[in-house]
Amino acid sequence: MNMRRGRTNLSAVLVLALLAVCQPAVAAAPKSVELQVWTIRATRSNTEISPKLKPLAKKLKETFNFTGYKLVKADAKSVDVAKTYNASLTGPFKASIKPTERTDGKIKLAVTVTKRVKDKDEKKLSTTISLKAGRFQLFGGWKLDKGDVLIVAVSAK
Amino acid sequence: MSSGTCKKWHDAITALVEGRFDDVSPDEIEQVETHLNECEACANRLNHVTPTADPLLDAEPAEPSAEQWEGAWDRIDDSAAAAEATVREPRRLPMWAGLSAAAVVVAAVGLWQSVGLRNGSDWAMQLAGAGDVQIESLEVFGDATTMVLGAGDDAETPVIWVMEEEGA
Repeated sequence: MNMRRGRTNLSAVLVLALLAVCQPAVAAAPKSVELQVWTIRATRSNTEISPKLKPLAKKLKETFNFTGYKLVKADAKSVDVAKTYNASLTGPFKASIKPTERTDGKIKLAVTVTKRVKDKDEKKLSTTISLKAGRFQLFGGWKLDKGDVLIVAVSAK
Repeated sequence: MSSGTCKKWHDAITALVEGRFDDVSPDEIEQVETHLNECEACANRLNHVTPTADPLLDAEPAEPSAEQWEGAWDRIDDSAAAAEATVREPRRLPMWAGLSAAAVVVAAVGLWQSVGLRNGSDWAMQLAGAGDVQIESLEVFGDATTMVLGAGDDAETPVIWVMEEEGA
């Protein structure tokens, strides 16, 4: 009796282990794309730079005169090709990202940024890019409070 | 020193002079030493005595016989056998215990990877270079305008920048 119960428990543990192992494999299947959407607040009111944004701060130093870059949030999602991922950014801003094609290490993404104004999402940007897998593309310029500016970094692989 | 005290230790000193050490107790020897340090007359009784070495100290130890060696080896063998008997056989865990442990480890690794995917903590920021991205369409709305800026020392990092009118 106890032996039978032990075998049942063992089977349950093995099934759970299999599911846990298979989940990343499913996420990495060719028909799905791992998306990253990072919401960044650029400012001139402080010099704080989130550790993950140091490469970005170094790159943007000469082009923009921001002194601080804060990683407000980092959203990650595995979505199938042709499916849309909607991400809340910060404040009234949202982004929708749809991977439309995946070929030779590149992923085509349809990116839309909207701003909620008077109960309505107003489009601010609509673009389609073909991006090398694992690289981040930057979109930005939208004004936030306190003179800060919104930057969105999108990546896929 | 009084003669009464000398009489008291006379027999003990005599025994020491004659080498009858077993007739004197250690306590008595200690007291005799104290008396000899204080009584010149009694100390003089021992001046002519030359201490002789204990014959047992000079005796060569006898070599163990073959029988004694055999007995010693028998005792060593017996002790070793007894010690070996007291060493416990390691307890063997059932096979399912090992499998369960392995499954738990695998599950933990899988869950860790899964969580890593969800929060994006394992992604480092590698910005796209000029050759890493093609912009196929780009549109902004309202009074906004847009441009693609080249950031970095080599202006190689494209940034899609939107400029809005004041109050937008």
